[in-house]
Amino acid sequence: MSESRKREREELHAYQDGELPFYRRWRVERRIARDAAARREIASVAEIGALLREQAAAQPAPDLWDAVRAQLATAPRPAPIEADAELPARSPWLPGWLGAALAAASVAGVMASGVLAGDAAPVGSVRWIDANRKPVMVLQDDRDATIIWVIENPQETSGGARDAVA
Amino acid sequence: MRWLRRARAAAAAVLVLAVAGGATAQALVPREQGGFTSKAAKPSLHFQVTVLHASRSSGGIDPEAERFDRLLHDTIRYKSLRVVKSKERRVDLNEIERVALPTGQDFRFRPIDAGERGVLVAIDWKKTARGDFRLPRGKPLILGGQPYENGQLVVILEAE
Repeated sequence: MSESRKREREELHAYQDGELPFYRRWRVERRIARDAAARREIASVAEIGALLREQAAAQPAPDLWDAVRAQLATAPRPAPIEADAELPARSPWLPGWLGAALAAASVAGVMASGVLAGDAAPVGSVRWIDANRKPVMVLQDDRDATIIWVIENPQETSGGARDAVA
Repeated sequence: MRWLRRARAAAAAVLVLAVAGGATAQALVPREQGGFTSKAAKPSLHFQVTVLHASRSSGGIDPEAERFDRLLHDTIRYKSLRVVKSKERRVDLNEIERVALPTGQDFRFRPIDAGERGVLVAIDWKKTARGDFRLPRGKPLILGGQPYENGQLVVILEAE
């Protein structure tokens, strides 16, 4: 498409959108009156514009959440995952009440600690932590101490053969 | 004696230039807070690494571990707590320091940054955990959980 043809087409679009001042609008109308190609172009532009306006005026897509929620309520629930026999559900090292509470909050605790440990946080020490896919708990992170406990498989207990002090 | 006057004027000019140059050079050298210029750009940081063994077997609390027992006994269940080793280390920024653990693995740490809010330290405890932690002065970082001899190891890192 030549540069002049491109400019003419842009002008037609601008005319259709009502963006032209009086004098340029008058010139475009004269061109439409004497040029069949310009008439076809403006008709095409008008058709596209009408289609777009029609779509814009159409109702918004229905909210499917209610239907999804209804199906969730009736859908069969998967069987609970059996506890891994090799990995105890809670650490024998933690008091029961603490283990249960912290197990639920551990991930959030780690994440929150990481987020809060930016420059604005005066206390939090944990920037990030990775425990090799093992559960990890930030048991305490205040002015006194930061206590982090990794829940290891007791059967992986190592040591005993080596000297305790290197 | 004109030459003598000229020589004195030249010597005075040289002296003025030398003093001014020295002052400029001094201003370009960054000073540490203590007012002394440092030879090395990296400040040496002082750390205390303590390795404890917490066990459910009876054995009591090691007197050297009483300070940590006060921090731990509310959250961790154990009957005995003893100090396995305690090391003081001077480490430069970005220098990796290793402390051998009785499990045969290394506890490694590397100070990344030091400021008024403490020392930012990267820690790598093989097969247990790794991460970055900010250690304010006097606030110990206590990492525990690695099984060892019917108990668990606890590594405590403190920046002093």
